[in-house]
Amino acid sequence: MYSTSTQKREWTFASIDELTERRETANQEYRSRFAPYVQPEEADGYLTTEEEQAIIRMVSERGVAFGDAFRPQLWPAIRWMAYAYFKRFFLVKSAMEYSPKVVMTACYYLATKIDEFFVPIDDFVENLKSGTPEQNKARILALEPEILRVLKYHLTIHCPFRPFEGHLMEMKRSLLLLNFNIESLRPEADKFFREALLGEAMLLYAPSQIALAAVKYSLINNGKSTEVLRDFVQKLLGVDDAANSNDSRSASGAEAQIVVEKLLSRLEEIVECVRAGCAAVPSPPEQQQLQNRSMVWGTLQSVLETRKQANGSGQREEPVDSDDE
Amino acid sequence: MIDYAFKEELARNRERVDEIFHYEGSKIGRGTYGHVYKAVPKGISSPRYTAKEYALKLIDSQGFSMSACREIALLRELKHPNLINLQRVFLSSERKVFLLLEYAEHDLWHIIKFHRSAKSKKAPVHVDKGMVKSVLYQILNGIDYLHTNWILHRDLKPANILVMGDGDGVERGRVKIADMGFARIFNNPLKPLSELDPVVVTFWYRAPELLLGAKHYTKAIDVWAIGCIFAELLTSEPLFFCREEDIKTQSPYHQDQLGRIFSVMGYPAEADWPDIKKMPEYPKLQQDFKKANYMNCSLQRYMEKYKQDTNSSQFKLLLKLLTMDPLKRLAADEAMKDAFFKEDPKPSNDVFGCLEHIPYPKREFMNDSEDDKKAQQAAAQQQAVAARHAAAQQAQAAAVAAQQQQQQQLMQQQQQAPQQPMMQPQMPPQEPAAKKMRMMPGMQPQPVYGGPTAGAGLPGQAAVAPGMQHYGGGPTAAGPSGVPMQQQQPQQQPYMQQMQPQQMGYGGGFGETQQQQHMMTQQQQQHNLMMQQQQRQAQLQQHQQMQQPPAYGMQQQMMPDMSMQQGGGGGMQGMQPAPHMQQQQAQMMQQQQPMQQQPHQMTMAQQQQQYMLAQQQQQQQQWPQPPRYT
Repeated sequence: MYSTSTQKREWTFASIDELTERRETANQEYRSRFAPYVQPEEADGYLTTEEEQAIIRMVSERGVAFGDAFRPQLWPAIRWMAYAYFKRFFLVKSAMEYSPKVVMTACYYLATKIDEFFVPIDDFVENLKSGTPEQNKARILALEPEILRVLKYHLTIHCPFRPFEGHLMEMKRSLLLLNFNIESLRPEADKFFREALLGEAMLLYAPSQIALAAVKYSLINNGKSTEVLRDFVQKLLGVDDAANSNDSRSASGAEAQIVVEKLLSRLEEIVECVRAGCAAVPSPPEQQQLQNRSMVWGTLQSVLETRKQANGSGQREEPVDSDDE
Repeated sequence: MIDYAFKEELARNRERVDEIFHYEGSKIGRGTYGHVYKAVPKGISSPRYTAKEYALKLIDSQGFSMSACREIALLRELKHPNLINLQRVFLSSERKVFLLLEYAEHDLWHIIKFHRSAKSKKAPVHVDKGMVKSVLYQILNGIDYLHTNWILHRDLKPANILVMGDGDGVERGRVKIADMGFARIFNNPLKPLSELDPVVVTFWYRAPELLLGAKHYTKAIDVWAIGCIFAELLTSEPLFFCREEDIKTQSPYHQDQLGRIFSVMGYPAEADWPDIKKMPEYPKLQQDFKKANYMNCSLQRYMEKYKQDTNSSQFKLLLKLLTMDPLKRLAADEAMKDAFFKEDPKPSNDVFGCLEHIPYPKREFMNDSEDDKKAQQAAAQQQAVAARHAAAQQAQAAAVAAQQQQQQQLMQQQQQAPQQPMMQPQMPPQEPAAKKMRMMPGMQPQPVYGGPTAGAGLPGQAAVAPGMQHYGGGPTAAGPSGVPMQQQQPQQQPYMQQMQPQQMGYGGGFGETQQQQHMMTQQQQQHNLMMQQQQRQAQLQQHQQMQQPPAYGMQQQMMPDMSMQQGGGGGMQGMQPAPHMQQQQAQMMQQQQPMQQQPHQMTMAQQQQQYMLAQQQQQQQQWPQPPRYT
């Protein structure tokens, strides 16, 4: 049940600001590990939180395609779950420390297990274009426990797909006078769910609301009136429109109407959030710039690691591989 | 490797379970797919572990297998006083996963066993008047919570129902449902659940619709199992005790188990269960069973044999839980509102209630052969013969070895029984076969001398064997030999002996059955049943491995006598067989002994091994050699 879930309790946040704050903290925390070893003029080599986010955004884009191309074919919930893990992970950890690309693949692998889509690791790494199978296997398996730990073993993800099916069924049942087929909403809704992977929506909203926002998005893109949605939301919340307007004395009726309005504006917000997340793709020059920046960071990281080693336990370390293969 | 530094870092950060807890040599059982230890925090290093004791479940596979992930994912979401609580997850440097859980001192498997043992000795156990009611209510409460969260337990049985013991900060007498390894969120209809794990619920607690090929697990299936446990609490006998023919069967249809259900409940009338015709295995059912054979059977009659008041609200609730038609079966939340719980005594949070002292023994440690070689050696000395056998058999296939050893000890046991009725056998644990099938690679049934894990143990096996031979697997079964069903005594259960290896002194069986047994023995001496016997024996062993699977399952020493207040009755008194019976049994066992090593049985063991091997390969595919975190 979502209402008692770890997803609601620990991984659904009040605002984008809160997300930014956490990412900032993760970035600072990682930098601070090298504080004694970094020269002032080198500090420029660190990635900023914004740069990290842009890199994560690029990886997210590619991750969607990865899910499409994956064989055996995945169902949408697995990709959604993988993205939920991925996003949660980088609320706690810096993209300077963990290659977002490797984290993304490991999250996919984890999601297949949690959703009982059994893919042996050997078959799984067949789907990866870069790196040798052995390398990829080793990376994924080494990362998995760390991901689980960072996620606090909160692995049950409530996806919007099931609520969406419920909403469609309920609409078919309760909205009898529609001049279109409710099934025709599906293609655009699927597009919405794909786009939602890229932004922050899944860290901010309940899955059933995201599902309802998909209905709204699809109505808009199909050129239908969103009044249908108002009708539906009223029925969903058990508010009778006609009775309500006749009986304005009823305090509870007025309150219920407020709830309806609140939910409708929330849906508006979600659609906006998804659009914004989808639009925030770095331009090709920006992408080039980011690649350069992460290479600079990769170099700096190995220097810093070496210094840290020299100072510390004296163990040999190699640079964590960077994200720019 | 590229991630070398990273791995180093991880290994450093990782909190090591063996630095925080003392658990070596404290194995208390084998779970569905792991070992369970009693873990005690090592004082100073662990301010966050406030409880005195924890249960530490070591998952057999390397790393996070799918089922481990699934259980963790579920347990992390669940929080209810009647569900065992997951406190933490540890990963060792060898990629072993540990789940830290609440520790519960008791479980219904041991509690019922204790009462059964006491009952047979006619020594009453004093328990709180409302104990069964409180236990039932709390089981329903926990399952209702799961069900409202759209989760099915799917493997309810007495061994999975734990009860908290005494101690500071412990919720004494609180029921905790455990072993969510098979539990599953069932709001995902993408695939029929039965396709994934064809055989899940322990047969005795399996609902009739499952046995008839139902494709989906439902809430009603859990409720049926609760009904079975309820009845077992009242009578101290498993309601639908049934031997297992072939554990490898992929078919859900199970004739003997269905027969047993009908012989207790009666054959369902069409009006009682209209949809029975739609069940996939209905044609087979019609073929195999005749309604007329079950005319005189009813749950009422069965319970009356155990001196249960069938006019009580207690019995009426039992009937509603054990309704054949899953659609009519009571839901957990409805059951909680039943009149039974509104009557005094009211259910309480502490199932031991007013009782000052909990009569049940505490869990004992199993000797883990790897962890505790010394203890094993000591035990070996005590049981030199058994040890010699163990050594001789080491080279053999594990399953076969275990069986043979049992045989050996069993014989010893039988021979010694008259002189030493109280002797607690130091015998290898009998891993239930169902479990063995799920065991991870590399696990062999190790000879452990702390007593049989599974409780069925082997003298029990021995004891039951003659009975099985005589009755063709009990009155309910039309065995392969064509032994006709004997409806006149559907309540007969050779189970008693089976479950109580140490009860050999009472040995041969129930009073009612003695005569038959005797007759049959003579017939056997005419020898033409010999072949049949061997088959049965083999089947029986399979069966015994299958059953008695305590989640924390470990073996208790023989318990002092007591008998459960509610379960005091029931035709269990005055059943001491004449001593010559025991001798006969022993003789028979000796006769059978050589037969045990015949190809028939080897084949079964080998098949089992092959199965395990296949599982192992699959596992290895998923989990390559562990990366070395040095």
